[in-house]
Amino acid sequence: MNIFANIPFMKYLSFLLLLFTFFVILFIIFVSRMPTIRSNLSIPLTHLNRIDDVRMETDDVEKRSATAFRPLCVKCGVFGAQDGSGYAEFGNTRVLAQITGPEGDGKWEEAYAKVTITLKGVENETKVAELRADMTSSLSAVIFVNKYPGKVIDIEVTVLSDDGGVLSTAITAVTLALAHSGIEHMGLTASAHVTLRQNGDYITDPSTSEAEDAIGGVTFAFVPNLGQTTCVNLYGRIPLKATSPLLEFARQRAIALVPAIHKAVVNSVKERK
Amino acid sequence: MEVHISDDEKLFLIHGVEQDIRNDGRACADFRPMILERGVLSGTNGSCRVQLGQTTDVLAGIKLELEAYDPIAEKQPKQPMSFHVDFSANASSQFAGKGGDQYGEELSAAFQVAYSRSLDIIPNLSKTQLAAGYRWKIHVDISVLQWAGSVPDACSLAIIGALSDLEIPEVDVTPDDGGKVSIVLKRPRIGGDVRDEEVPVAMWKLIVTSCPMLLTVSKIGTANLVDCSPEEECCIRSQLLIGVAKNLESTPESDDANEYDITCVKQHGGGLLEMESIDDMTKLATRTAKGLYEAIGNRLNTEEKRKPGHSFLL
Amino acid sequence: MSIEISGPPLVSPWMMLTMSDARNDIDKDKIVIPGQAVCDAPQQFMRGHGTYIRDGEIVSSLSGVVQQLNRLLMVKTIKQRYAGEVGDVVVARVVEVQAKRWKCDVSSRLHANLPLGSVLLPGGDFRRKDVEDEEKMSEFLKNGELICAEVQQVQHDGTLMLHTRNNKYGKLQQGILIKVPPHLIKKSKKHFHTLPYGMAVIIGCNGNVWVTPALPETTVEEDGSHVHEFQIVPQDIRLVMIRVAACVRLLRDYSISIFLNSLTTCYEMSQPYDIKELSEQETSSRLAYLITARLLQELQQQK
Repeated sequence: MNIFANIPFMKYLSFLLLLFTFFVILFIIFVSRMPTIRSNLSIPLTHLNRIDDVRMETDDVEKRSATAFRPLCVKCGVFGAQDGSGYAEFGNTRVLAQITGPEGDGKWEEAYAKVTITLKGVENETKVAELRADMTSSLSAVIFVNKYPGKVIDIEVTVLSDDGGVLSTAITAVTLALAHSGIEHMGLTASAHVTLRQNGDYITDPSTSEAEDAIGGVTFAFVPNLGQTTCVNLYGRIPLKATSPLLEFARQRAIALVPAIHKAVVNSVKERK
Repeated sequence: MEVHISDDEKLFLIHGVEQDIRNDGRACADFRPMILERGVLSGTNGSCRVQLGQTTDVLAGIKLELEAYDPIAEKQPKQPMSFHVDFSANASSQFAGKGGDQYGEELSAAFQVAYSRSLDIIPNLSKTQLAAGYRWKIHVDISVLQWAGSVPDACSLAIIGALSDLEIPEVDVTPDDGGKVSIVLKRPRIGGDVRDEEVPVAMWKLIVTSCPMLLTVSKIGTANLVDCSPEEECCIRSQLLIGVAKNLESTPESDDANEYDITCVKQHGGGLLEMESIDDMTKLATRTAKGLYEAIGNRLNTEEKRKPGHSFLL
Repeated sequence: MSIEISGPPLVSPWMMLTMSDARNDIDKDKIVIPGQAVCDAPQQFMRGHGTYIRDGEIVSSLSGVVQQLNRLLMVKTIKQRYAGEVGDVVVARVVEVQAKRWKCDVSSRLHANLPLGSVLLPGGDFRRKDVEDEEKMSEFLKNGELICAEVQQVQHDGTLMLHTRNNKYGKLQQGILIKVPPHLIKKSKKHFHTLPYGMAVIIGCNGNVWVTPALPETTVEEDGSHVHEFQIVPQDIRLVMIRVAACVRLLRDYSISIFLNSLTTCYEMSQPYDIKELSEQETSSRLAYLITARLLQELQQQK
């Protein structure tokens, strides 16, 4: 028999305790499925060269599950001077995006806007070309270019530090900058980088060292409200059978990122009010 | 190439491809007739020219270079090929000056991705690693002479043709003073009183039966197409660049799904795409690759050596 | 799926044709190259197009064939941009909408003009064109759209003035456009042909051949816009159209002049082959040879 059975107050308390633990467990489950979000934004502009390795080697980062992202920080609207700006940080990969435009440059006269991308902070020229092609393709799909005839939208992407997954980080930064800029577009773009190991394991958002033994990977970007893909960038050597599950996994991961991006945009709108 | 077609013409074309009838009588998965010839440039170590549908014309040439690298800095062997695609102003006036540079860089980058694991894919490519610190570097330069659609497809065929034409010298590696090595061309002695320099150098060739191909698959209306003509390229909703490579380790009896590896998928030129479409388009690319491997294999086996002194343009 | 990789052709189309008799009708002496004297007795002749006078001699400035019209000597070249003549039927593409006129590309040296006053607007022929019509111009014909028109006037700088003041001219809708060199088009009384295979073709004098399900009958609605035909062309008609288009390309590739008879001959003779085979070297060269032979034979019978 329960020793508290005779005391009504204690009986009530035990019930409360049970309920409380239940909620705590629920909360833990919920939190563990969400990406870890760093709430303190500090753009490391003053110490760009110093990559914060100490923070990255804590246990919760090293031993994260296959579905967890690295600690991330997203911010919509960083500077006031540009038409739009955004910042995204996944672990040690940090990308800043700024948008100028739409404005006329005196040369472009087509009935739609030209989207140009300038990349800074990436040394390898082949890599620059690849990133630029993928981002231009992804962005021109969502921006209503027909609404800005004869205008140029110039997007400057600065890679502050690269530790794997630059493309997905850059797309996230640009989508935030786009939301900040007031340029009409179809919806936010969520993007995730996933790699595949030889034994069939997935790694979400790996750092450069984590991706070393991967046989291939994919950066996947899509517009959640349309359910349509805007960017696929698959590399490595992946058996035909494994491509479809890999893409689906990447899509699930990108969906997990949507609330974080959403929150960042909402916050920026609140701030401006 | 600048092609303008009216909305009604587009409508006619889109209805057509949805019925699997294209404006030149092909079905959606058909290629235009192709011409492939090797050994067209005598100044290169390997060359190939591919003409697609009498209009798209690309020329690929390969130069070899003996490269010294730092074996301590590079623990993992890097793949030895580098690609450069150049769009000639002949192909279209919009490529004049620096016009073609950006597109060329993007295509080169895509080939770089498609071939990034070529050391695993091409069986004897690791032979280009001569000794610690020395390797053959393979520079592949592609020139697009004429443009009438599906340039990446023509380029990948030209690359495979040129790689199969490539002759790499055999070398002897002997240890030298100071921990270095000396690399000497191998000349098999055939006896007699021929001087060493006059003996031809032994050569070896790459096995190209599994070289990655970069194919374009385009979505027009609800249909997936390969090898688009310029008019069809005006109607494209979205396009994927898909790199496919044959997996030589798999048994030939097994189904297609095991036989091929995907080395690259890129969404190209904007546009939105359904998730299921990507899967369909990858499958179409694999089927096409199967046909292309067969066709190019036949062509490479039956090709006769071209007569010296004949220009490839005739 | 059909994928075919072959070697370069052993015989080029031109070699194929020189082997046949089709190109023997030209007198070798009449072919001139730039800088060559056109005739022996320059005093008796006047210089025409493609010639100039140097040291009292009439010299060619083009490579082509000498043609004589009474005392006028001119050189007709094979490859040249389209030079229009009054009354020609052309297929043109609108490239610019300007105030009171459309600029059209007719693959000539200059863009042709189609004035607002020369088109058939709703409300009958003799209606005055007012400001409202001017504002609606781009609704009526947009950039990139194809029209079929007649050359009304050739201005002294070579600009063509077009008109579509007839029900058979006007905007073209669904169909296939094939560009051929203008010299291949044989001028005839009729350039609109409804073929007995359930479709029609317009052979524009400027080298644009339009293959279409039916001839345009400009049906202009009261609100000024064309009736849009969004319906899908039936499969059997589409196949015929594609075959005809393939025939035009074949005739173009082998430099056979394009007119009703050559087109129907080609169509009939291509029946044993698949449509996509017509673009293959082997089939097309054999077919071209047979067609030229047939056409020559018919020509001789007429004589």
